[in-house]
Amino acid sequence: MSAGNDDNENAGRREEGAERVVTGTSPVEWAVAALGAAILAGVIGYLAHDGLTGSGAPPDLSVRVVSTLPAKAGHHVQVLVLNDGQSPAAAVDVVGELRDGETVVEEASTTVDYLPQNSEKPAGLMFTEDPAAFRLVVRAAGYTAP
Amino acid sequence: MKAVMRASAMDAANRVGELTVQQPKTRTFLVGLGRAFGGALIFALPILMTMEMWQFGFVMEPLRMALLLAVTVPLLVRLSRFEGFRKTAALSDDIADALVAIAVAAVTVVAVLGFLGELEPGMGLRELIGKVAVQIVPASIGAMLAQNQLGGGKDARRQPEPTYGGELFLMVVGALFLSFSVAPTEEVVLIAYRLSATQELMLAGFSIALMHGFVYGFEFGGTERPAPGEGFLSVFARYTVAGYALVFLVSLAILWTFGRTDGVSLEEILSTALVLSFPGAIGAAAARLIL
Repeated sequence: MSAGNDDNENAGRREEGAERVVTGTSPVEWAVAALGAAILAGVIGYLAHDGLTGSGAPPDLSVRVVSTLPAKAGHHVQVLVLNDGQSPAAAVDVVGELRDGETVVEEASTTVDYLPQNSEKPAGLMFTEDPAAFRLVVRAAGYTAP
Repeated sequence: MKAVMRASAMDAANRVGELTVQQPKTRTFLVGLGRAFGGALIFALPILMTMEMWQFGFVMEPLRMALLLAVTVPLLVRLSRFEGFRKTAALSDDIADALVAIAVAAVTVVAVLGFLGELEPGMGLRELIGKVAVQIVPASIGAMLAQNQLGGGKDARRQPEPTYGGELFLMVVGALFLSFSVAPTEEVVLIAYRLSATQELMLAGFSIALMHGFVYGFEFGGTERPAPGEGFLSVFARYTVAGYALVFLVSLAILWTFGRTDGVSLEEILSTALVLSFPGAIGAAAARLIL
């Protein structure tokens, strides 16, 4: 919108007999306004695109072992819980098992409160046995829709 | 400098039937911008620090959130007529003010959520954008309200006689603002579960009585006087009852936007909306007094 446009509208008002002092819009303000318009268009555009083209596919949960550290009481397995789906998940149960062949020697679990779509969250599992001596299996066992 | 501006304002007032367009001063705009940041912070901080709002960022339907943002813009434009950073004459000035409020809100939200550790690498783009988008709404209204609430008393500007539609609009803004900060919390749903139908009707009656009392009874600064010759019933029906109906509709719209109506029985939806209309009614009444 140009300054000339403003003048025209103001002129229209003048004819109505308004009797006030008003402040026009400075170039600096128009620049900030343009920034606001860009942010707004970007956010609405992104959300609308996501809403219209997003598959709404259910959460796709997986767990990855990051590292194993010795802890004061046993062993600390750091994991990364991932959601590669298009929907968020809540109360994600993360289970880790130490297996010796078919026998489960020890089990540890934790819950991730919220796991948004296309996101990851670190979590930890605590074992008393040394995971290095067994086969470590980690998985996400379940979730609820938030 | 202020004195000069006031003198020129008085000159202008003497010129009957003329609209004086002041040259925009960058410094004045920057001061207004600072106030806008203050308003966005004060009004939005409680919601910025509410966990449910962070979660709504990625839980909310993206299309409903886009619609909410789109609706916010005309609301801000209209609000700019009553409030805003300066006296405006042309619609284009109001649009500029509304967009500035959006920019201020976005910067404020990103900064505060960033400080609070709510915008971190590892979060998906959808989560990051959603978290900011949902908070832009209250923050931009706060930015727009800043001028009157934080500005000097002598510069406070309220249109002396808002129209009937204008009064209803102010009530919608007030209801939207207060309900918005309460709606995301679990408590609204919990309260609705616990209240019996009788208690809910009493709550509605209480809301309506408070709404009327706030505006006409309690002798606050902006207390409204009914027009001469206008009876109690007329004022009560035209302003309070009509206003409460709007508050209720705003509550329903907010609940729908937040997905609180999905898979919920109609009875429970209505009772939740009634609970949410309690803060909404207070917000609506306060808006008529303050704005």
